[in-house]
Amino acid sequence: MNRYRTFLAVMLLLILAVPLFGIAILSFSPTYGMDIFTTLRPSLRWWQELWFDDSWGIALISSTLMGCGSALVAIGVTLPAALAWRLEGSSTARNALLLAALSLTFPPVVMAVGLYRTIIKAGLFDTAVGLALAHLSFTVPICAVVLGARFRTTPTDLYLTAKSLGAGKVSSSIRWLLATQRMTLLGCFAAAVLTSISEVTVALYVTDLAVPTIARRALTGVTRDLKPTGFAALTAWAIILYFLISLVMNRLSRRRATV
Amino acid sequence: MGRLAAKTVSANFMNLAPALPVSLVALGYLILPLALVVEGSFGSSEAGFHRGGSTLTLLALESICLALLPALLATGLSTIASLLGVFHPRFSKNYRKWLLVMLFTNPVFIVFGLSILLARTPPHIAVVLASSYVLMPFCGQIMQAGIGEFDLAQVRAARSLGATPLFIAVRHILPFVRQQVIASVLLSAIYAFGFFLIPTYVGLGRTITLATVIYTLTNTIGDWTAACQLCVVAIATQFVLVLLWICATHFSTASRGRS
Repeated sequence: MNRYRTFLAVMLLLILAVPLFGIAILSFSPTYGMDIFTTLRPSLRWWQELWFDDSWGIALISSTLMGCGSALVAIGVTLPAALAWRLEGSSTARNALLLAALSLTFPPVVMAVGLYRTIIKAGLFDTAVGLALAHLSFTVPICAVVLGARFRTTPTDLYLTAKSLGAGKVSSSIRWLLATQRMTLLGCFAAAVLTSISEVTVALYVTDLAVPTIARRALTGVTRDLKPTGFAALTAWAIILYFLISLVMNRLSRRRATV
Repeated sequence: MGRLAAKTVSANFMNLAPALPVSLVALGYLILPLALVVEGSFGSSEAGFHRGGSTLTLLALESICLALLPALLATGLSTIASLLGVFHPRFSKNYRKWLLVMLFTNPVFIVFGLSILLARTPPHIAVVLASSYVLMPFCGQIMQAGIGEFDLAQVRAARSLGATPLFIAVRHILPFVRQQVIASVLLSAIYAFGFFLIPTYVGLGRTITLATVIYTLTNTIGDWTAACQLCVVAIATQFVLVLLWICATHFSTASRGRS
């Protein structure tokens, strides 16, 4: 029975990992396409291009800055509502969080068309501010979902104790937040930034050439330039993510073991 | 009297204040864009794009099928993987890492990688396979959250009484996560309903969905009125899926209560 389970586990991991490995192998292809699988002549030219082409670096920096800005605003507007809902049981705050998360249930292309019309009316088309504001349409829902889920499962004893000892609402909330939710805030920020960097649909609609983003650069690279540099970029991105996630998971499991 | 009224207003404002920023931001990125989409749908179509009711119904049905099939496949695979993770800790650890890496990986690269890797597969099958792969991290998170709530002491007790892992999975864990399975299928179908890069590039433009038609109308033809009209159809179709989800959750809760 154990052998069957291991076999199933290996098969499932293969199903999950093969496309990613396939894309990683494509980044060593001498041309655009599946040549690498037939000619077996690996080439490092796309990796060299990724390293030496400034446009990728500029796009990554621009995406990261916009992602950080959007994530900070998203946490700033979601946090008071999440705190009021969890610590004070405010139903208004809960409904506001539900409204904020509602955009996740609409097709991204519909949201993108609506956001394009809004951004055009506001005169912010093809600007970094416009894109960062448009990115709020998914960084805010993500923050609402993450904060809501984590806050719901955290006890509020510390807050109640601080309040009973005479601390005000705001200072008690801050103490509760700092004592119990530091990792949640960090995770929420990271999730919002990473999602903002990966986003493509809204970026396609509300920007043109003036605002470089990593997803837009990849789209141009593959559709217009017909170069598999993007596959090198994805492979590098996935490797970095894997190491970061492994590091965090190992540290968390070690801490849990010591606790 | 005046002082009492001022006190009531002040107390109400203090209750509403935490929910105010997130409500205002949600108004900006959700209600306003959707209102502009509806407003845009009332104009006359410049490119002369007129579709009959039956064509639109067929288009909506095809879109729903191309969203539901990958959602079912992705949920099935995610359920198997999450169940296997209960009995295979090493697999569970690697699976969780894969989920997180995929969740924050740029979808553009995956779509283009899959369009090359699935180049020789029939378009509809390729679209279903690619969509399933892109949906798997989303479904996986929902299933992992559901199975994570299952008390592992019950598994150990059942194992010590001689139950096989398959029996435990089918008779104990699956009924426990029934609601999560329904949520995973319908929420991921709603998400997949907005995919346009996959049908365009992996399906080589031969699989036509509402999202691809909206994308073509806006980016190639430039007929925003027709695009907004189709966005309204997409929102209506989306509501059908959401309604289905609510009904399924309601019936699942009711049947669990009876049992």
